[in-house]
Amino acid sequence: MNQFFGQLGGEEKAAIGPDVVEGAVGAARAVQQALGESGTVVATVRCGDNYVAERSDAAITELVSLVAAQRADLLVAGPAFLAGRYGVACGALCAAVQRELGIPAVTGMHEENPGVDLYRRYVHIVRTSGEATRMLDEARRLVALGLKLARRDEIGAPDAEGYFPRGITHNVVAREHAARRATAMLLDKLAGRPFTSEVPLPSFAPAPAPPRVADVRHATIALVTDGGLVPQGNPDRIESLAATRYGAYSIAEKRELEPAQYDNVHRGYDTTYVKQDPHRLVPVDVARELEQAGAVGKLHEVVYSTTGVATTLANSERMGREIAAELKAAGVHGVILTST
Amino acid sequence: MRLELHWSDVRRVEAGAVTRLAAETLTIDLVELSRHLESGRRLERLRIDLAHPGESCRIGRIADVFAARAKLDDVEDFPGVLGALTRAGSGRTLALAGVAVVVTDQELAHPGPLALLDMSGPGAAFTDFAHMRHVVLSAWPASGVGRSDYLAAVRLAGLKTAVFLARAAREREPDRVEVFDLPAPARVPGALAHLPRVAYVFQIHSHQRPTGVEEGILYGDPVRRMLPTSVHPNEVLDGAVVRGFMGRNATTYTIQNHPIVRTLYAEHGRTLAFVGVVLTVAQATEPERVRSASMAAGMVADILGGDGAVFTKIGGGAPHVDMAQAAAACEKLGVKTTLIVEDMSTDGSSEGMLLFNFPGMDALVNVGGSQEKVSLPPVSRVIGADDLGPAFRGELWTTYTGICGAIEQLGASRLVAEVR
Amino acid sequence: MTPVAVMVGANRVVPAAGIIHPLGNAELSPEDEKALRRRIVEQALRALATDVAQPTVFTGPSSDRSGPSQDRPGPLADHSDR
Repeated sequence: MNQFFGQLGGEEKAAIGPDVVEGAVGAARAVQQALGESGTVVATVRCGDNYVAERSDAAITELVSLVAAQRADLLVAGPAFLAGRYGVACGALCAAVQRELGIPAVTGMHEENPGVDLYRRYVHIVRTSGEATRMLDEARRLVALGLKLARRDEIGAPDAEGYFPRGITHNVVAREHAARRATAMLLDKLAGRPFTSEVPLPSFAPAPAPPRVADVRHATIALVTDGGLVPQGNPDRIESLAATRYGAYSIAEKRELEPAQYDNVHRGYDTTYVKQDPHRLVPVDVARELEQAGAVGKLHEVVYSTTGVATTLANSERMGREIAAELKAAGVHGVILTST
Repeated sequence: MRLELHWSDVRRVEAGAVTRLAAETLTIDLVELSRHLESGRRLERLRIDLAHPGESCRIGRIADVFAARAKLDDVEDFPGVLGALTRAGSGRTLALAGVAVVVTDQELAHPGPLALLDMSGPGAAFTDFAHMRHVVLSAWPASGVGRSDYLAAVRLAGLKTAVFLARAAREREPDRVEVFDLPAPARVPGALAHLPRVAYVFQIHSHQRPTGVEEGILYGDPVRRMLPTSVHPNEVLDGAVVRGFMGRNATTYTIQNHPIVRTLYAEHGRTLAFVGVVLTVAQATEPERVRSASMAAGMVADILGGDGAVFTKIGGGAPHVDMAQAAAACEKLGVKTTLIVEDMSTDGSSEGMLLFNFPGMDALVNVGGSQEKVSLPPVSRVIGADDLGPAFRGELWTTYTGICGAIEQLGASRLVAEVR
Repeated sequence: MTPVAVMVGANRVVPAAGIIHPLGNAELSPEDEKALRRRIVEQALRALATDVAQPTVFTGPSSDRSGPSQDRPGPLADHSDR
């Protein structure tokens, strides 16, 4: 609980540090009431909103050790409703307690609380109203889900259980096969009836366009590929699917890539043609000629390569960032990334 | 076009002296069947096993599954691949319910995307195939036979077996006759004029892996330069289309019992008017992809006169995009679409589920997350995967895509990936 | 996969020769194949030298045009706005 729901005081007490009270205090009484015979609130851990907001990680570490000492089976944090600092603290504490103590945790917030977007991925956050007008009601919903988590029961779909989707996919068996569901959805769409797509559409944050390379004739240009070209033997053990690694391969002194020295480990397309002639993926031959002719200032002497097939978004972004940082440090002005 | 499936129920399969079907028991003369199959230069050794629902048995290295079907009236079976070229989709076809033919891939140098099938236990819950009896063919390549040639030979053996078994029902009365009779779209009777007209756009191959010379897919053609083409749905049900060698999460069996064709047939005249099927392939180059998308959309909108269309794909990421591009072209022409997709994420995150986001692509059905892991308990018997040793008999972890029939891209399976 | 590149927000996109050989074409003679590759790389260099405000596909011929000034980057009308 924060200072307010823990009955320490209002905003004037927001700087107060953490303490522990035996049993249920303040809003935790609603949690005890919702638990009924199913459990006991062993302690209430309280802390001021600003204390956490100003110390973030250090404050969470303190709170985690206070929770650890209680040897509880479940942590209920909040609900935080629309209170932003409180919501972020609840999310951070629940995530840390689950990660470090292995104790399941549940919290609750209004959908506009910034804690939702920050922590929904890691924590079950129950959807609540904006204000604490029906505290017992909200506590009941937190407790219902919390008990399932504590008992390691299977957790159902977000709508059924009342928590914000965590963005984690899980296979379940549907009532009807996919062909019937697709036909029914089409009929709904044709008739203008509401329907629910089974896949959320991806949205990608726009990447700001870097300014143009003002003078290519004096610029250093690098070649990068996600088409899976590797030296024979795949020294960096780049995965043929869902890559987590990339390689940096020197082309210093090479006018061309010798097919016998290269292999291709990409599993998403027929690599026969690229193995016959690696230039079909990484155009070192042509780039060298353009360098000789002065059309390009300099060809960067290192080619970066990975396999872009079923790669997770997180790994793609990380590898992209790392490769970009290395290229930038090496003074590269522009990149030609060849992709299959 | 009118097709009759003459169904015979099979509840038991056993080896015996004579091949025959009586009292729902299919008896197979395995010696006769082997002799029937072993006429090629490409296969060296052949083994036939039987597997039954409920048995503690795991079939491994599955390359494809076939439904037992045979044409009556001396018409060709699987024209262009097994039989001589003729048009499929009309007349009478013998069909066995409750039994299928499984072929395994024993060319161990280049194993493909192989799947397993548990006949009992938790793995059986995800796939219809666990509830059928299976005649399992395992054949080994003769020396010097290439991969494509080998796969063509085992597929041929599977198709021959499918026909051989169905012919056992030739002399008996069928248990029931199912009629597929859909008039040409221009002749859809006026009584159906108020119903929305729905087409099915069926992607049958992806050219990110060009087909082999022997890899006939449409009437025996390897569809290397195929442009979108329209067929009658009966042709799909009756052997005109077989799966290519690399079609992941799809089987020939499912094409022969195509769940979308069957669903649209079932709804025809009730909630919609089924106007036909457009076949496409996923392309490897941009101009081909754009051409294919716009032609497929034009066929649905302006030739079949569709108000709506259902789309499926075969394969992984590239086919995903081809399908979406064709559907986006349809939406642009005012044709509403739904698409069946796999959850493409490899880390179980919902952001990774899709590879496209086109305007209007708002109605997607998913057939589950292929990379989610699942544990299967030990079994007492293994078929088709001797090389994998005792480990394959024990408890093992696989992915849902590794269970034959658990994720069917054509919509036959019931798994769905929920975002939690 | 040009549409995918545009969708994820790549800012300068040059259509190449296909999934199985983006910078080549096994059906061409070695000379023609190399000329094709050179045209694609030259197009990529021109793209690098052009300012863009959003994901832009650089289509249009390159080798048979006289110079970069004639290249008009054409934003994809359908999905450049995402």
